[in-house]
Amino acid sequence: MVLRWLLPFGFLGALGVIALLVFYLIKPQYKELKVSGTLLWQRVMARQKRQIPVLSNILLFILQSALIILMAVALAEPTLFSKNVLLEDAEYVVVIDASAGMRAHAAGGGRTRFERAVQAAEDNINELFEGEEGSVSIILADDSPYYLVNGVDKNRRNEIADALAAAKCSSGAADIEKALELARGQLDANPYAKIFLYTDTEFGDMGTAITVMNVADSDKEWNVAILGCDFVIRDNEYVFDIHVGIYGNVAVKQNVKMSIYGADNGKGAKNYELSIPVSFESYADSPEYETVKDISVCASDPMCGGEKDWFFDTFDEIRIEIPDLNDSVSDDDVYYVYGGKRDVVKVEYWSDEPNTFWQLGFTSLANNLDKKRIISFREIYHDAGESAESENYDFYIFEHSIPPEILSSGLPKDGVVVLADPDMTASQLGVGFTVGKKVTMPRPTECTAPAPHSLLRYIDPYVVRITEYSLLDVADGSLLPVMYCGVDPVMYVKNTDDVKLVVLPFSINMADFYGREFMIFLYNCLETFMPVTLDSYDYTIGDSAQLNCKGVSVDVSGKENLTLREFPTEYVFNETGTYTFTTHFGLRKDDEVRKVYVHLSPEESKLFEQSDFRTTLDNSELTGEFGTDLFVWFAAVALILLMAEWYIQFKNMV
Amino acid sequence: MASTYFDDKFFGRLENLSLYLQSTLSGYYGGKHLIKKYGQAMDFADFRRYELGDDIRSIDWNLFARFDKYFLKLFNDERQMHIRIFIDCSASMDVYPQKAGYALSLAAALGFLAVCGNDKVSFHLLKNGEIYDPFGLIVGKNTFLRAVRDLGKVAFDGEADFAAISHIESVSSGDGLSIIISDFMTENDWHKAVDYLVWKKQQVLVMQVLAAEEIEPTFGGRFDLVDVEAADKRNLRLKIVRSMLDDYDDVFREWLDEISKFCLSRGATFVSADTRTPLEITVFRDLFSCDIIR
Repeated sequence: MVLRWLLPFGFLGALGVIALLVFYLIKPQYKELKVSGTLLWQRVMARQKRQIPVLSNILLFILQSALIILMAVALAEPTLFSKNVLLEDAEYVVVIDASAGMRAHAAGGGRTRFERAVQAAEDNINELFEGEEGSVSIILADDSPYYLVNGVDKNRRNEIADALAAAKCSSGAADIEKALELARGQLDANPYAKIFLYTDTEFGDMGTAITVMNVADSDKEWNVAILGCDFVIRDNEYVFDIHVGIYGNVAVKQNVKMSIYGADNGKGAKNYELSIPVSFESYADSPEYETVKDISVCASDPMCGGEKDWFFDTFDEIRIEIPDLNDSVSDDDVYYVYGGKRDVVKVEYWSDEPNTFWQLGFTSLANNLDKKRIISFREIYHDAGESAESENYDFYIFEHSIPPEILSSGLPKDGVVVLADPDMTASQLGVGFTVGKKVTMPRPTECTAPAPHSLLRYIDPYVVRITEYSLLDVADGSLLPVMYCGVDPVMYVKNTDDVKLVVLPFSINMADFYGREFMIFLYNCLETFMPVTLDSYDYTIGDSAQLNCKGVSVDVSGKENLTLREFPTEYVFNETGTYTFTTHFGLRKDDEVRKVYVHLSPEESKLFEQSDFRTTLDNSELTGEFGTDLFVWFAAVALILLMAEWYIQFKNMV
Repeated sequence: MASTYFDDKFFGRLENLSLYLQSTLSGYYGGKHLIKKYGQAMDFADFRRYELGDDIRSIDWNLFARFDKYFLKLFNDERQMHIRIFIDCSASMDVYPQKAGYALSLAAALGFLAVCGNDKVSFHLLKNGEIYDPFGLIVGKNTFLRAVRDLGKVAFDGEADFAAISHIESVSSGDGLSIIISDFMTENDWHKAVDYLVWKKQQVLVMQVLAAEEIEPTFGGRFDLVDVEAADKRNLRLKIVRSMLDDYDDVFREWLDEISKFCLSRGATFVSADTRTPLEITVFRDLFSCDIIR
């Protein structure tokens, strides 16, 4: 253990001893007091001399001097360090910002910020090794910072060179705070370590331990970035709003090119292009200045190359590009728009006594899900000679009886089958139940749900009242009862890879199961059996999304290729570009394809950013964490001396 | 001038008391004090056989008739005493004004008791190394009260020389009570004075008067203690601390004990009075308890 003084100036306080000595040497003032006689006082003096009272004064002086010296020592912040903490050699911790913004280079070409940062770090490290012994740690700060090298000394400098050469800039954000937390670990081990942060962000005061090296070059760097694109259908026509950010000092005129692929108006798809001339200007006194420009364009605008009076309903893909820009960041000069085609949910409905509940329910649901899904409802008119199909539908609803063709072919396996109030014929389906006798309640009876189930989410079973239902004789484990009327189940579910079945052994006509509860039930059926693969069509680097599957598996292709089988699952987007998610339904042949575009974060497109990051690392602040501060101990001893001094003074007091 | 406690109410209460003096004293004829000698008073004392030379006027003829022998009828004798009150009028008695006043009041009270008992009183003032007798022999209340008025105007000054008492020629053997009132805070040898008075067969009362500051000093710090009677010689430079005050308390008690033992060894009565104690209590309790007053 080694004792160090963090504030040596505190020792100046010991000069107080001189002042104390002067006080003792100064001739004290004596007051004159007339007394009747000094006879008794002389006798007292004789006694006092026997007690050697001079010792008291000497002891007082010693105590007071010790007190002053102790206080001076305490002021000097004595701290006890373990020897291994106090490395005599210099230590550098280099943190390199690897956010996407560090990919920026001088407009027209040149080295990127990241390359410049790596070079500067290398030069700095070489300078350290030229001068003295030391060690270097390098932290690469991407969204999950890590050590490239840790505590490497001069003899292993080739490891540093290799690590820096292999270091790559990410496409996402940098977690500087976490990187500095790692660096703090180095400071804990050696409080005199120096931290160098190579970044393109302007930080405020970060404390004495950190030196910020900003590698941004506001004279040569500027950027025009496509931040996003929204579209709406206005007057039966797609209107696109393209958001463009302009950063740095720039004044260029350029065309924004829109390539629309698979535009379809029901008469056949075709591709065509729009070209919108735009002037991008940003004159800034401050390099942090930014301009966001919204470009609104109609797909049929002849001025932009569109075809007048040609409207389309759907599209496959739109590519937006600002070509030949030569700005500092090229990844954000292109943008893809998907979502021109909405998911279609196909419903087949059969009933020997048709009612309007199902069609109205799905129609209303379709209106509410307009932006996400289109619901195609088909009712089978048996009397008109139509027959039920057992393939290519998402939902098959058979009410009361089972269509003969289904009885012969078996239940459909490529969609969800809903058997509403099935009659005896359903027993022939061989799905694990037989239909028994009907039970008529004396009055409408409320239902109960002993355990929560996704089909009953947001539904109050108590509101659902049933007057008549059929008893089902269910084989063990084949169907899961989820809702009861009295003691008998009135809703069964089976959800396996090859069978998705819902059985409602009661007639809608004989129950209070309509309106809100019925709508929610249909919505729950969609979400449970046919969830949307992804919520959105565009994501930012680093975003995570919940990936669902309507079928058996999802193939991901694009920046990476993999097949996912466990759902729902969190999927993280790490690279820019188009990702394709292909859902396989198993027995159903028509796989669903969904494309999403992953773009740079708008924050990364800003070339000159200022951070309100407040974390600071200070050498002096950290001292308490690696050494044992002895201030309290010295203060405690001083207090004891103070009490002893007070006791002696008290004895002398009158 | 010291403030005193003289007032009519106080003297009025004293009129009911009297000094109780030893019967071994001789005194002068004409007083009220009974003595052991037979005399001409009215009170019968004893009989004794007639011896040659006795005054035949004292023979009890009734007894002669019964026993055919001569017996003398003896009577008690009453004498007038001389009360000498020596007052220390040195500067030390005036350091604390209440002390001087207390001493004078005490002297006046004792003097008043004397004149009430038809005794003679004389005040002797000890100051400036000499002894003064400004009022002479006082007999009777009127004379006494005039003297007391002037006594209140006495100035306290200089040093008291107790040895001067032994040079007073008028002190007769066994003629009364001598009272010394002082603080006795002096290196002057007052013991010789007591010894002299005892040798003169005087009844001696040593009356000490002390102020509160002398009994329990409460001051502390750095002081130059100046002895008001001998400023040049006995000045003390002291830093008075708590332990010194504790020692003072012990020293003070030892000192009182010394005085008391000395007086006891000489057959003198010693009474120490604290000026914080009301004069009435000192007179009516302390002097009562030591049998000086009845």
